[in-house]
Amino acid sequence: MEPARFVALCGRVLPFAVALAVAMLAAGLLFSLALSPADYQQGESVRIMYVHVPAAWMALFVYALVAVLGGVGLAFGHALAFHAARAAAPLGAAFALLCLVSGSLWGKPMWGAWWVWDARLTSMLLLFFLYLGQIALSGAFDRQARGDRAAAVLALVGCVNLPVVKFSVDWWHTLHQPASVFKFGGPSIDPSMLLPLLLMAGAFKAVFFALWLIRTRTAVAASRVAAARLAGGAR
Amino acid sequence: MIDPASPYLSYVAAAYGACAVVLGGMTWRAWRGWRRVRDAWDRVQRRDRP
Repeated sequence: MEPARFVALCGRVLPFAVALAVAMLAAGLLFSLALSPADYQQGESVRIMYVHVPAAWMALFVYALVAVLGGVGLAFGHALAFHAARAAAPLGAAFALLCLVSGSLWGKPMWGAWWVWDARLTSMLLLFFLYLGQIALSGAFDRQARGDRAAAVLALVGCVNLPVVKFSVDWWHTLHQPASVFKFGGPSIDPSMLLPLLLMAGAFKAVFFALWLIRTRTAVAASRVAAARLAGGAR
Repeated sequence: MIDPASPYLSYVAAAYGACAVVLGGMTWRAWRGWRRVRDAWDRVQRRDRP
């Protein structure tokens, strides 16, 4: 897509994306902090789940998205795919960090430990490091195109970790609880807690989409500006 | 409604605080990045316009 058209399209879509993100976040926070019940065993600490689980889902989703965009960029040499991947990676890293921090804050009162070297926690930490490596690699070259290609290769290789994160609780005996939403036989979580969880997941996705649009638009515009400056300097 | 007397309140507050910092930080950085590029982008657009 032509850079000018993409930037103009982002400008038109963005107000709706931001409005959706704000509305969903408000609804999600209302349900997760006020309208949902406390857990009969975990008490009020269960409310951490409404931040922790959507952050984990987003960290996995964004990594898969970055890998797909990197693959498209490598296969077709599409600059927009690389811009979009570069724009998404720090957002995914932030969600992975939020997942780790909120998990630690949930683990301390429930398990008695801030951190355990459990398969789920360790694979999520590895995912966070993969994000950091990808961001560092993307900016490590003089030519952005080379950095983009190297980061795309790392993203594709790092995809091996995604099923490990998801199925670690089934493959190994872990302190972390097994899946209770995306599993065979349907969710085992009570609807009064499932609704706020899904609302917050939707809110995080909407926030990500709005920020991803802004960051991709910035990356496209910055590359166009850099190209124009180079052309101006060459004349 | 969340119970203010809960012994877990500080953990819940810290988790939602971390969420606010992360989401707010991401938003601030994204918007600041766009504001930095926007003026230069507008100049390029004006120059390219026939």
